[in-house]
Amino acid sequence: MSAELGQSLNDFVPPPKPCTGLRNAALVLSAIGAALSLTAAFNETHRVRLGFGYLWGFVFVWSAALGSLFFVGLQHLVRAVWSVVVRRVAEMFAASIWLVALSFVPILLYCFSHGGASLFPWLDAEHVSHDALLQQKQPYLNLPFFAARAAAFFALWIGFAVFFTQNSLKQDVGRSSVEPAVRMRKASAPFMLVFAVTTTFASFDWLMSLEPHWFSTIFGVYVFSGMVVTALALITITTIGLRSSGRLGSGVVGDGHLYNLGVLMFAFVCFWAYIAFSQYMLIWYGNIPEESFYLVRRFEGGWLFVSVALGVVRFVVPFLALLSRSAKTNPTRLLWVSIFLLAGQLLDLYWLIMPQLHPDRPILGWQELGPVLMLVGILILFVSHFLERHLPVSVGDPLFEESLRFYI
Amino acid sequence: MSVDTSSLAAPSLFVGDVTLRKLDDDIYRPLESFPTIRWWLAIAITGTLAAIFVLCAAYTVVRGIGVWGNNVPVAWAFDIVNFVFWIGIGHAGTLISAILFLFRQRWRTGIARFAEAMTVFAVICALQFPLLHTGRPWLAMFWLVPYPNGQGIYPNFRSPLEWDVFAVSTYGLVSAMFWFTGLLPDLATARDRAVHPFRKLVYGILSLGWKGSNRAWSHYEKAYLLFAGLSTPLVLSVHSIVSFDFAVSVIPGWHTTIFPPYFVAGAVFSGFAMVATLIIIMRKMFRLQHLVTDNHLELMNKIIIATSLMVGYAYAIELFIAWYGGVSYERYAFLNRALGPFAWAYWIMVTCNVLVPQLLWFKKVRRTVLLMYPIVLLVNVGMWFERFVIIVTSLHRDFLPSSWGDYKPTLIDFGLLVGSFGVFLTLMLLFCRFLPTIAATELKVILSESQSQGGGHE
Repeated sequence: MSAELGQSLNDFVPPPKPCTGLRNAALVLSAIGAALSLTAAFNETHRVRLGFGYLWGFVFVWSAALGSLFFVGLQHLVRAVWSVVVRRVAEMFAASIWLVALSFVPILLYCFSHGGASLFPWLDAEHVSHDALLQQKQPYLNLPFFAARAAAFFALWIGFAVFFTQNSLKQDVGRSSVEPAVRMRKASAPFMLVFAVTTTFASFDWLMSLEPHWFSTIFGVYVFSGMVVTALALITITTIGLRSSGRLGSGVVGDGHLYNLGVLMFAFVCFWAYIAFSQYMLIWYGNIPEESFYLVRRFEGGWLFVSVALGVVRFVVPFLALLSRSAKTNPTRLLWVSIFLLAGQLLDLYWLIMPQLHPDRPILGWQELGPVLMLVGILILFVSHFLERHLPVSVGDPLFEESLRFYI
Repeated sequence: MSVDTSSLAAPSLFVGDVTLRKLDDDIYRPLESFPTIRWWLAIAITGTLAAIFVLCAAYTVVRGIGVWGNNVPVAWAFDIVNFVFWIGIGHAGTLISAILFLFRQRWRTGIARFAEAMTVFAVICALQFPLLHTGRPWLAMFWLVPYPNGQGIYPNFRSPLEWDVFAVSTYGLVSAMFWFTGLLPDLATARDRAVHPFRKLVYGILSLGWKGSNRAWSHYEKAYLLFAGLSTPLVLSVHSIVSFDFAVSVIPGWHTTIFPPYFVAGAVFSGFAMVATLIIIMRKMFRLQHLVTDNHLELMNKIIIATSLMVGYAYAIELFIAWYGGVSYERYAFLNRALGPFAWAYWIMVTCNVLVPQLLWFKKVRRTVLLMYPIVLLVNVGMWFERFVIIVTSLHRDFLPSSWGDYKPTLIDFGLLVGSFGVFLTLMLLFCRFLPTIAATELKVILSESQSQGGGHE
């Protein structure tokens, strides 16, 4: 269509430049986290808490990366045009999935060690020999299969992440054909199939099997809903940050794009609440001991407060904050709601993981926070590294110009 | 940039040279001309079926619901299966009119009106079954609706059946109002085109004095957006609450947490299949293939396969967790579904809902009416059987083998099932005869946009 637009494409987005500030902050964060984690690792009493804390941090960065990969795949699947200008940010987080895979290695090593049974009770052969239910589950819950599943999941996720990011980055150099865009569209539908199955079983493995007696068919959808909210919050924060620092160039991301991010965030906040309510209500109403003990533990003692806070942080506040139309185009509002939602994801994962460690009341100490700081620091380090090398917008996408013209 | 991006562009929503004038003529022709012989033939058949429904319903009321096959332990059977089936059919209409509107999917305009009408009629059909099951439908109002009364007797608010009363009636009312609001500008067009004074009067009253002024349009747009926003949670809530009817109990095979989203996906799946089934006939009958194009069908087929996979996901996860959970009753319930006396129903369900729709991965199948039509027909069958499997197989064998039982539907059961299709199709035929089946005004907006090559919207 517009020749001038095409020629001045490179002026639209400034070339990548160093992100010294971000990188230094990430280095400090991960250094503190690593120091705390190492301290805990060499102390017998702290090591158990470190294991849980590490899993907490790991699942958080996993949900950020995989949720972003889902966002990328979804945009190709539904042939969205508006999202072309924000898709690179999601691709960046999706590309970090290999780092997430690396950070899974310590968990796996821990599982193979003697201490692993403190994290996943089904690893303890002595414990299993007294538990008829766990014996029945052994064909699924055993270490070799657990490790093989994780390897397969990560291989698939890394494969798709590399595919989507590389094809998109290829277009930056110069647009010669629509071939990469068509290829990504074609791959997006099979990707969704793979994503649904792997995400579900990964959440069974890494979260549900912490309490190996408990089961819930909706659990995979529950983890998925929180994952998407997390990815949307991260994409929104990063996009607004890039825009205000001038890295995006002027007029690339407008009100319409922010509005759509806000709408999606609002929709998935509601979706999470819907799934969470469905799970809670049905277990509460059925009230059979096979499954209700999981909720009873979380609604007694100090945990009651966390359960209530979860509903407020993940649903009530963001719902009200994002309800109005003007809120969804207000960068300040979007920014703090997104930060709030990231805190909500950490709280949700804490709620899922930690009652196994502290059944009576929630406890949060440096042993749990250390590994979270470290893994989040590494993720931010990856982001700064990516932004120094690549454009923050996929200017070479064939639909880039059309995406720029999106308004509401 | 010399790259040709046309292969990435959104599909065209019109075939051939469509003008505003021609568009009106095509859409309003069925309203303004004497019905064709095919229409009379069709309504003769569906009317007969509807009469069968009325007869069977009357027989049920006179003799009592003992004329149905339901009996303990299978206390719910065809009646509730049909209820859930028809409620599900309506979901495509609300999804198209509300959710696709919020997603700014412009292809929805071609099929929205038709699907919304289906929603309203499907809810009407659905409501008959629980009402008949009360035995004395004329008293049902007093049993189902809470009102202050001398005896101080209220319905049980803790029962999901009572929630259903609220959910379904809200859904029916909002869907009807949404549908009618969308119809207003088109009814005004029908009035303006009318020659006979009686037609002018009737359409004039129905269009509520619509003048097409700026103010009216701005109110209309706002109302439409609000309706879309309100209907979106309704799409999810109605079938979620229908799923609660089963899931809050502790019956093996019913009590599982994935039920709410699984039922919603299934409802959209069956609804889209029914829209496709009927709109293909409608566009042929009234020669509207240039407005409801093969591109529309392809997009609908994509939604059908997406929801088919969601339903398949739920089947698989249910099976896995039944094994993983280790509860022997739950394990047996699923074993019994797949291998028990009703295994044939289970395998019909799996084949029609998960296996056959996989053919829609092929573009050629999605775009060829002759290839896709058998698939959507089978989906309709499969989704009816899904409810049959859930309801009947779980009830006929639960905890104690001494209280197991069998189930056989009676002729009246079949009469009501077939008859409800008669009621539904008769209403659809009347709708096609008296109201514009395609949202003409909305389509004009898209038409003028696509002709001016403008990029903006809303």
